[in-house]
Amino acid sequence: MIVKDVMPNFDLFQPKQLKDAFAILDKFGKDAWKMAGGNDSLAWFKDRAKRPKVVVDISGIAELKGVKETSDGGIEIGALTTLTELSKNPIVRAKYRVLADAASKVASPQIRNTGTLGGNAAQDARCWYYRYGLPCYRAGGNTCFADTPEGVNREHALFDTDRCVTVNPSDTAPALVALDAKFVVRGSKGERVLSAEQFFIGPKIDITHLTSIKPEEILVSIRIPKDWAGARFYFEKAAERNSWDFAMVNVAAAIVVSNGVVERSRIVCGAVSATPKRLPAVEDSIKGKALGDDIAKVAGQTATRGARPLNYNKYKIPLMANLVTRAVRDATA
Amino acid sequence: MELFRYAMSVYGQDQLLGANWDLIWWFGGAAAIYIVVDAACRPFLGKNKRKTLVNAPNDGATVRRHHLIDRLYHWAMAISVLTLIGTSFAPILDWKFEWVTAHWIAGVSLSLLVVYHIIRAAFWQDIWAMIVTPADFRVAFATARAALGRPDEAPLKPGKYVLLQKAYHWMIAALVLGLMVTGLTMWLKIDTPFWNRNPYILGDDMWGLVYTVHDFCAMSVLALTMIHVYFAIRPDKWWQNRSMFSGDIARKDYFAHHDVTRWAPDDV
Repeated sequence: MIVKDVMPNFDLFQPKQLKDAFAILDKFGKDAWKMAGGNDSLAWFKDRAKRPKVVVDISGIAELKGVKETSDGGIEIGALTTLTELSKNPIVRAKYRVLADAASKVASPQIRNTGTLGGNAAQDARCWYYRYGLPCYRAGGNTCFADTPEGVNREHALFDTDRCVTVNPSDTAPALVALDAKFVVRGSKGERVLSAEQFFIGPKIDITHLTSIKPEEILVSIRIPKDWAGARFYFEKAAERNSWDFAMVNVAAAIVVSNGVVERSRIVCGAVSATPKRLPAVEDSIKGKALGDDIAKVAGQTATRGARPLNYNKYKIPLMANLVTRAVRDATA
Repeated sequence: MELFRYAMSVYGQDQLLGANWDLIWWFGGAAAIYIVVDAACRPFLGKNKRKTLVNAPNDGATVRRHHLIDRLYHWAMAISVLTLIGTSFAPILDWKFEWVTAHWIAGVSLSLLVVYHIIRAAFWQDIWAMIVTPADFRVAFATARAALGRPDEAPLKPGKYVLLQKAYHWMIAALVLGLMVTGLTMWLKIDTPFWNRNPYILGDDMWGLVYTVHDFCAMSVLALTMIHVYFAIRPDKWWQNRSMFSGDIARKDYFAHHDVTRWAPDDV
């Protein structure tokens, strides 16, 4: 069986400036592993499922930390801002509460103290076949062990599967998509500002990654536009345990109500596909309507259209429908 | 240079996954070197050969080389192969897009085209025109000697196809059949409108072998396609290659380049 022991050896670099980090990443390319809070990375190393030659610990780069307001009325959050800082930040709480709520639901207090927004949003898949180190599609192999008649796929995807059926496990990612966040990734060759659709990628595009960050790039910050500041928000995470667990399904909603009816909205579910699943059909179904129990119920039923459950995750369909219903019904300013 | 990709199996052993994708550069590079060397040498090697072969009157008449149905087949196959090459190698070379659906549709299309071609070649075409015979070697040998400075031996001419064309055809045929068999087997591992995926029809080792054969065949096809395109666009081959558009070659070229006893089209 696969040896689970102490971590294998690697060379550790701890740059204090971005340019130094880029130089290291350029030098070692795909042999380098970027680590921020380390909560995801160290588990990989201890399981010996990932054996990088070089680890670049970017947690000491000060310019990647903190929340600041931008000239256009939005905010820019450094990728190394911890989830605890984010959940308590007064600007975030006042203007974009859904993100603070999502950050406060991640794992445990200890993990939130070290875990970063960038690390949580860009974290790797939790499919246990993959995490165990089996040679599945996501690990570069030739098969999916979860999408089989015998596969244990209780936590896996309902939508947009393509050979791999893993889900994006992040709690903050759906909130960021609901807020129409832009992801700033930078390398020595320049900077890219990506929409959520460009940043989060499913197996149809790249079966071995959940984001489009290249090996030589670092997620440096996340920009949130002013468009959704002060909207009605809702975040809920359904997990088997109240502490330290990944979502079975989560939902984030941002709804702008004007003159008693929905002017616009962004509703996103996590843990149902390999990318945060935005629900445009739900958004269309509530647009121009007054929020209430009936319209919320319709929204919930609409949310799960097109779902293709696996053997053991059919429960996610009513769970997702109920979460969306509650998001539409209970979103508050 | 590793030839294969491996992963660790559940038993802690190396498990074959397929070919090492870095070999793409070796296959592509080998084809590129062949093309460069050929392009560099051909002006010198071709002088004597052309002098002896072009000796028929230019009366403007034409000879049918490829029927419309065969030209359509060729271009449909070309589209399928280029789609397969693009949808397989571009993502490996870091150009990310949704490639799987286009890839399997092109693969199935190519498979159907190959089946059609086999049936047509067997019953409606002159299959012997593509069979390699001792005469092909004699012609190739004489042509080579002529190209290298012995023009007196050039009068030997081929039938419809020269030895290299036949060799290319059979190489690409073997590779495409290898891709078909392995590709159609892999097709069972993805969901399609016709069935749900089933990865357990083969064991891990057999799947590794299937992928390895598919990968090496694909890289070989990439190299051969590069060479094919090179010869297709060479100006000195245009007398022949234009027939894949128009269907015809000039009558003077027919007499100049072909042995009329080995290839006698209906319209001659």
